[in-house]
Amino acid sequence: MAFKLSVVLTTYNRASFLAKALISLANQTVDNEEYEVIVIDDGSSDNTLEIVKSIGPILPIKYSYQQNSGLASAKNHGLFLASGDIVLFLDDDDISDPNLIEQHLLAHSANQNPNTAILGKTNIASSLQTDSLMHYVTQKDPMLFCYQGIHHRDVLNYEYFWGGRTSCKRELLLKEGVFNPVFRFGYEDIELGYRLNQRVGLQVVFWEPAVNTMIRQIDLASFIKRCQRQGESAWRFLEIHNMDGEIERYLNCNNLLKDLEILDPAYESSILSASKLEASIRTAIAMSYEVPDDWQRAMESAYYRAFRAAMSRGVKTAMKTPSPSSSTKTS
Amino acid sequence: MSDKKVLTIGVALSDKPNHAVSIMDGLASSREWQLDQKWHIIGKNILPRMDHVVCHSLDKEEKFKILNRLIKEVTLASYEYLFVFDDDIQIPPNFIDQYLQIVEKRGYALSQPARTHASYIDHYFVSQLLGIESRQTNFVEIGPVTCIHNSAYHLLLPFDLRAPMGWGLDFHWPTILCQHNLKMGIIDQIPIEHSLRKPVTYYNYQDTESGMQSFLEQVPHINHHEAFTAIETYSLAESLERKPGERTF
Repeated sequence: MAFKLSVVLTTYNRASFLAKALISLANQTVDNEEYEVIVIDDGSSDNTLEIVKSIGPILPIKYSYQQNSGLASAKNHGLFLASGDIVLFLDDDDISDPNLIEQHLLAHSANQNPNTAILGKTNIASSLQTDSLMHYVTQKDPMLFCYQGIHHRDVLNYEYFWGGRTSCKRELLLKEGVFNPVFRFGYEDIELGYRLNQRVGLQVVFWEPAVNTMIRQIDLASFIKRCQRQGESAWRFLEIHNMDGEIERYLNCNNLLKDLEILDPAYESSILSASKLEASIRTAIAMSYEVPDDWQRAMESAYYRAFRAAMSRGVKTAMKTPSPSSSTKTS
Repeated sequence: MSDKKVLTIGVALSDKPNHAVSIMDGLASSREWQLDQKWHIIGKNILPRMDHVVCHSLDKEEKFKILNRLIKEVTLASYEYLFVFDDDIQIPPNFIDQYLQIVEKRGYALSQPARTHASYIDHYFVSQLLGIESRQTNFVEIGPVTCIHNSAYHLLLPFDLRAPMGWGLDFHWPTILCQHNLKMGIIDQIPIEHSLRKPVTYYNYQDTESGMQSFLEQVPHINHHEAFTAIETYSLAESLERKPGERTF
């Protein structure tokens, strides 16, 4: 059966969030027959399979398991199983608005150029908005995602080919390029966007009414780990494309290398100080004390140092590891 | 060693960079299968070793004509599988044994190894999926490595020479195999690397492309959408594999 749109949702050990994500996909304004949902289980050891089975009666799901191999490979797996003309890549910790799929379909019919992708809007759940870390990484220093300065229908470049909230024509990827499995986490989306841009001039149109909401609170330890993995991927990105100047600009490579020199030696102390400060602020909030502005400023500065240090630690790790030869050649 | 036999045939361009000898050695190391190799060499040079070379010519000749001749010279029915190899790929150690173990388990009558991501890629659909053993598909490329099971010989061979350089056979064959309920698959666990020579370097792309279109006009074939959609994927983690039919909830 050919669907108009295939949702590709990759997941790894997040069964409780996945349940909510899937229920929101069951309750869409478009008819169930217009879209399919493909769950790629990237080697979960929790009850992901049971959750998928339990939702089966309200939402037909194509489920496929793979040995843990990372995001890029999982997304390719979903792409190859998909039968829709459009593929929408979603994360397992986001709840879709009831009209999310309708809006992506609408956006594609308004943007029929085969090389145009659609970027939807991801909000942070209201319960998470007061969290200092979530606020910092979405508002102050957009390390997660940030929509400041972009508007509905804006035509953007490959830097906005953000995984977890972007759809594109399936044909575009099958014809021009798929995710590079070297990227287990981080930059798999931008790296593909970069290649698509080089080959066919990828455009990304921001479609503000296509909304989903992130419901998972990220704690400091997880975000540090995430930054490290992103640092590794950033270095691979540069390596694979032979230190291309455009990618150096995108990744702010000068800063990356400066951080390596300055922040990496202070990696442990940066993380410790962010962690202590965060604990103090949480305690103050829990005890209903008003958090002084200078504490907030100190927190932001501690986050900045800790995340940059973690990123540079990732770069350092990648520099020490031989690069897998993995840049796809085109016939 | 089993008494089941495999025939591998290939054409090598001895004046161009090639991996022919390393492929021959890799194939010869099979412990599970009785393997016969038959290679045709084209070019002024000879290979460092000529053990499996059955013919050496100086002049260029259409690859699939040569392959049809190589097939004609043997009792094909005595072989369980036929492999067709190009000379510019690299195979992993123990290729034949591991590859055929999967093919046998899944019952693929026509199959190919996936291509590593460092390879030249014509169709991204055949690039390797990590974490996956193999996938059942509607599409198998006509090279650089193609594996045909005995049950499909009479359906697919000799190679239809109307398809220029074999182009288009990969869109036509699925219709034949489907009629006979035979399965096709891509083996992700045992990929090959195709990075030595850029494809279509030694023949004309436009002519071959238009030749393929006129071939496809004459035969039933599937479209890109059908070709590039996997039917089923099988995980590398055997213990967590589900029974067929359990996958869609």
